Amino acid sequence: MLEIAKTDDPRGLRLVGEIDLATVDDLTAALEPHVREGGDITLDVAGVRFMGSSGAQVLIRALVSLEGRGRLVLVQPVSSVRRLIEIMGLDRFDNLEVRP
Amino acid sequence: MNGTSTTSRSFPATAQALSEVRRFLRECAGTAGLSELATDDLILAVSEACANVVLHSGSADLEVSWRERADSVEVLVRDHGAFRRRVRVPSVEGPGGFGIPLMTALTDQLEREAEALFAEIASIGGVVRGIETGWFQRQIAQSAAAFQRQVEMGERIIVGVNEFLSDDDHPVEILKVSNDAEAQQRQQLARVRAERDNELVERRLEALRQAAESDHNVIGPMLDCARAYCTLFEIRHALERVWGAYREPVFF
Repeated sequence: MLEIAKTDDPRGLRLVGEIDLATVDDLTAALEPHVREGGDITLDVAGVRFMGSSGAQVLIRALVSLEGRGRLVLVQPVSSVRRLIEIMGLDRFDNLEVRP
Repeated sequence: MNGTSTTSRSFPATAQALSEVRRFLRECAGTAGLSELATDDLILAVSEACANVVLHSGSADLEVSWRERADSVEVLVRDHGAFRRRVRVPSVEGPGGFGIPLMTALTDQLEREAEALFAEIASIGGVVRGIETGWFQRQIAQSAAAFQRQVEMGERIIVGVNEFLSDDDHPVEILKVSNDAEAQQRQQLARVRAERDNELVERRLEALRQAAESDHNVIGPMLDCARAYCTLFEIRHALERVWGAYREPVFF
């Protein structure tokens, strides 16, 4: 289960639940218009208890697409999500910001 | 118990079940007293393994076993799919896209190989001729030898046999049939022979033999034999007197 809510200030999404194979398509769909538009996208992930490689792949795709056009801001990821970001090397993207 | 305990649970191999798998692992980790970091890492790793089962194995279900020892935890993920060693360069463009063309190519190839075999069977004079000349026996022997060679050369991977071995041996209980079983069977057979109507047995076996000689259907007389408590060997022998016995030719 993943609850996805749009946020206007800052522009982005608030995510609560788990990001895995079962929910990743919903996340991709919700993120897509923001990525197309460009600019900074804030993802409030404080309520995300689990994220697997399929979730990381969505973020990587967004980061690649946003290169030179905007940033992805992850707000308050839990320790397991921070660890996935490290292990998969997402922190090497210049346009990713992780806010504790 | 020798210091280990195992908890297993089955899940459907679906994306929706992954959340259940993680909850199961978290429960086990909690009971085992694993640190938070170790728990997170283990859950991520096993969840990824199970996601691969869902995506790639073709299995309808998966089983997760949590095996705990004094100083370590081992988690096994089992499925009923087929193992394929496939190395793909990860792509930003997204997952998938390779599976369907690969499967199509494989099934086309399988069909072509089957057609080639059918053509070869036709060319040697058909199935019966193939059995008589030992063609089938040779094919099976060659296929078994080729399989064994592939396993021993490491060209065919069997998880747990020649790759991804676990360093500890899990004892498996083997069914052992005692010698008493034979003695018991002999006793029962002797009792049947003593108690049955042996004149009736002779008549029924003779009727079966005559049916075999006369090109009549032998199923009815065989059932009559069974009802009179003729043994399988006696029924076989009655037919053998008329038709002879098949001896499998040995060819290599």
